[in-house]
Amino acid sequence: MKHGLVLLLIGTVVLMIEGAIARVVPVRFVPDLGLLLVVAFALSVRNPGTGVLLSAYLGFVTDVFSGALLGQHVLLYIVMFGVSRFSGSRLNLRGPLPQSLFVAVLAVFQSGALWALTAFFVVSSGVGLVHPTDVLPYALITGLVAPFVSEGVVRLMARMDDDEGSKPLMDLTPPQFLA
Amino acid sequence: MAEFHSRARLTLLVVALVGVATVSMVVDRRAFRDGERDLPVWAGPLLDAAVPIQKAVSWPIDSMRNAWSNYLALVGVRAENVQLRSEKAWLEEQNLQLREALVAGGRLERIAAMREAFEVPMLPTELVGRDVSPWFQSVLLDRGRADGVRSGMPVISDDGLVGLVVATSYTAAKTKLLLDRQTAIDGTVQRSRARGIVRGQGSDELQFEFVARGGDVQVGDLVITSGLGGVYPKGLLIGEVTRVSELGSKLLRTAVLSPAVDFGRLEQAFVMLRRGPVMELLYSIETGDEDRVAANEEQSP
Repeated sequence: MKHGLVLLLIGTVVLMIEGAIARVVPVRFVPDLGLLLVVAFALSVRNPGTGVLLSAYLGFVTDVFSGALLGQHVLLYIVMFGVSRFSGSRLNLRGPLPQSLFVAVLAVFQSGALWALTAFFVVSSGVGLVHPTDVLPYALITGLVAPFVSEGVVRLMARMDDDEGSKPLMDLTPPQFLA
Repeated sequence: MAEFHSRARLTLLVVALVGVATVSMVVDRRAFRDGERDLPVWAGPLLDAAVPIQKAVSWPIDSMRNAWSNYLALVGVRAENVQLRSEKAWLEEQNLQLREALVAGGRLERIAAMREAFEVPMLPTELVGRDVSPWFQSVLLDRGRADGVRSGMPVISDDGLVGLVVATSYTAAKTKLLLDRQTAIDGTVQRSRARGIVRGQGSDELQFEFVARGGDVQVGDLVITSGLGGVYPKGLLIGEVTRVSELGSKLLRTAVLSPAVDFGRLEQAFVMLRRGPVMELLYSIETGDEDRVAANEEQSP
């Protein structure tokens, strides 16, 4: 529970900071930190239920901080979590290179899915196609940053586990009058 | 058995979340179309919380950027000053001549009265954050419902049109930029009055679609809002034509516009504190007035 809340808070603050940085850095060169956190959760969170809830929450925060419809990223991040979790159980995604490649492919897939959802729900405005020249730098940057985010999440969780382990779960010393 | 229960619970959770997300998209789309998109009570606080955090992150970046641009601005300021003085003198003379012409035509008082009637209160705002998704173009402004900002209000800068407020919380407002793929605005070429639709491309350029027959559009033309649709007021600068496509017999032609506003450097903007229906009303009055003027001109010898 505590782990989940900490990750939830960190995810929220990270997305807020990303929004502030995107003001000065061209947006296609900013890695998709929401997607990166979802992949990192899929590969490191033990309970898949917690992972799904965290991903859905991150999707919700992304929807609030972006021009997307409320629910668009929620849906996508749940799918991304499922794909990452399944791939993580079948493929070796522990190394930096496979992880980068996997996330880059996932970023391209997410761009297509996001465009399809927007086109489906906002048909009247005739949404323009996502150009490969926009997708490729975004996928590349997101893929490059993936191992660092994943490592950060793993370390954070290990640290929280350590803190949890160092505390006694229950005070087992008998009361004075029984000693 | 325990594993089966665990899997069933997980499936149920995923199905429930997917259902909620889908319903949320449908509801949000409807709210957006109706022009009422104040964020729900459980979503608004996120935007409110983001404003101070994003301001804190932006402050050192903006300070450095401003220091550098101020230094650059000092270089060559003397030459620029001389040029501006001469331009000012020329403009003052032009202004005087135009006023004279208007007074002679007896229209100055009427125009002054119209301007007072159409004056829209402006709220200065600061841009604190940008879209976290590269596929959408929106910004977060540091003023919200507490300052009277509502969904559907146009946002401008001193250079031209910025976008439209699409969602508000108590202290923040999300604004969809012109550049967004979902944006479509009715525009007019200032020189030839050719009309068309300006669409965002998700990049730094806009697309202007106009009817080929009679659509006189040239490179360098300025495109302004037409005021039709009742969302944006008439006459706001959208951008400049940089390229015109030559498509021969096709009915629709397109031109590429460079937006008047430099969105990469945008730090402050103004929210026009009147929404669509009011704008529509204003323009129906304006149209009536233009008709009256035209009728008077026809009657006069």
